[in-house]
Amino acid sequence: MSQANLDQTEAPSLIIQNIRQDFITLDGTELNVLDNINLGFREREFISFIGHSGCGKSTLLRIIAGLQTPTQGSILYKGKKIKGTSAARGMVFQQDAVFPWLTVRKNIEFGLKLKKLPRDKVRAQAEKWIALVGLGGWEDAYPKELSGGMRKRVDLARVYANTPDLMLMDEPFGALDQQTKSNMQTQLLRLWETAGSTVIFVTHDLEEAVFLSDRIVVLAPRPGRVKTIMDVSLSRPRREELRLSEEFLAEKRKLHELLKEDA
Amino acid sequence: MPASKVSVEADGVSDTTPDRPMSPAEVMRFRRIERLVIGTVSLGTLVLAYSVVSNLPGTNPALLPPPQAILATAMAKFSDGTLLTAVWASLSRILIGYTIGTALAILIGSLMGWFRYVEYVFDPIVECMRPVPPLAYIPLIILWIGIGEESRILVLVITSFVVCIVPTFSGMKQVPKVYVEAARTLGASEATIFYKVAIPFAVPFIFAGMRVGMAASWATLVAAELVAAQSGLGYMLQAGRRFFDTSLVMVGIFCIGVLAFIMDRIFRTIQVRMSRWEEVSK
Repeated sequence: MSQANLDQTEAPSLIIQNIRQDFITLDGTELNVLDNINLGFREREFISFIGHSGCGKSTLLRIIAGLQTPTQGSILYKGKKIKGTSAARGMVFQQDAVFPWLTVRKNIEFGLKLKKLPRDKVRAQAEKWIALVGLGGWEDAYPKELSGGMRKRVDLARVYANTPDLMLMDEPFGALDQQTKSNMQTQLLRLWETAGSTVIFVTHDLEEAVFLSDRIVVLAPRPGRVKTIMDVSLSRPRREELRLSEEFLAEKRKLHELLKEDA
Repeated sequence: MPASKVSVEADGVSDTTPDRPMSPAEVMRFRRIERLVIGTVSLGTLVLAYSVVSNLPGTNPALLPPPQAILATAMAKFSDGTLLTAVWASLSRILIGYTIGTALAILIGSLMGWFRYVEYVFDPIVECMRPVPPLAYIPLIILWIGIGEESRILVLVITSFVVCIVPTFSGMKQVPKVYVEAARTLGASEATIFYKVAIPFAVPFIFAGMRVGMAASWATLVAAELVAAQSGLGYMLQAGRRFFDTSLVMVGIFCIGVLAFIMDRIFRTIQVRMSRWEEVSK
């Protein structure tokens, strides 16, 4: 499946066209990280990129964010070729990216202030997202006073408050413990339902991908390429109990098989 | 009361009795008191010993003036205004020279840490100046611009610049990439990233540099005033030596110590406040 996966009913808003990425390694050899990537995503879709390490999933996400210029190919958003980074494409990183010198509130207001919104609108928008991620009462705390899971919530609120069209997430919950991770996934789905932006989520966790996504892009390594795209046929809203259901396990098994083949 | 005490029990078994353990706050408090008491006793003993020796018959009061004589000199110099004039002369030099030097260091240091080519241009210059003690420039500066006020201020500019630029530069170099990329994807321009991400991150480094720079400036100033000045605390010390007024020399040393101490405390307070967000503060 190398050609754009176009949906018949709705034109894709995000089109990834012919992306190729080469890197020069330290010893001077050329490394082909991504080759011939063609994908199309609809508005409000929840997409995951999954694959073994070295399949270039993070690189692809960074290209979509505009943090990395591809060797070849382009990304079109609503018909326009993207260039560089933009507040319209928010990104949550695996590392802790919350600014330690700002309080919770100031962190969440960071992007809003850059938009030159009136002061009271910035306040109101920040308040809204602080409440939505359940950090009420922690507004004036510094990040060092928060747990890892809470800091991740600040990070999510900061990006969501910026109302991006596209949420890019690079293994955002990778550093959290299992319990916190599950909570964060449920919370992310709620935020996604509220905000309505398209999400592209990079992970190597099968359960995470199945629980969250509408579609899962399975990537194969060396060079990174699209192996297949799996539709997740689980109804929404998805709640915690779903994880133990037969249908969930069946989907997880399916994804496992897709990943295993010639891996 | 110590955290634990050793006791020998009746059956001959020696062990540390598990007294009610102290909470970390109690331990801290206890240690603070211990430190204060022992410190006071130590300093008091030194002063007392000096007092006794200097008051012994046969001690030359010209070399070891007794505390009461030193105090009298201090009072005299205070009431005739000499002391305050000297303090103000030194302080005003510090304020001007240090402010200019530190401002230059923050400006150039932060640009060096952020822009590769600024680093390439300034790094060799800074690296060449760094190992030279600022005092070594004094003869050159005197040759060039004489022994006026400007030369003393220039030495202070050099001192505070060289000391403060290194931590500023290194703080800016250490800004984590993930903060920069996060700001970028939140819509920040390169200029915004510089002053809203990089500078705030480097603030604790900059303040550490400013504090060390202040201490170094004092040291340099006094030395500069010893060599070439008609006013200031350093000059007062030199005058005391010339007129064999040991009391005056001691008053001068004491004043320098107290002023430097106060300045450092002020800086430390600001530094702690500015670095409150850091993982390890205080």
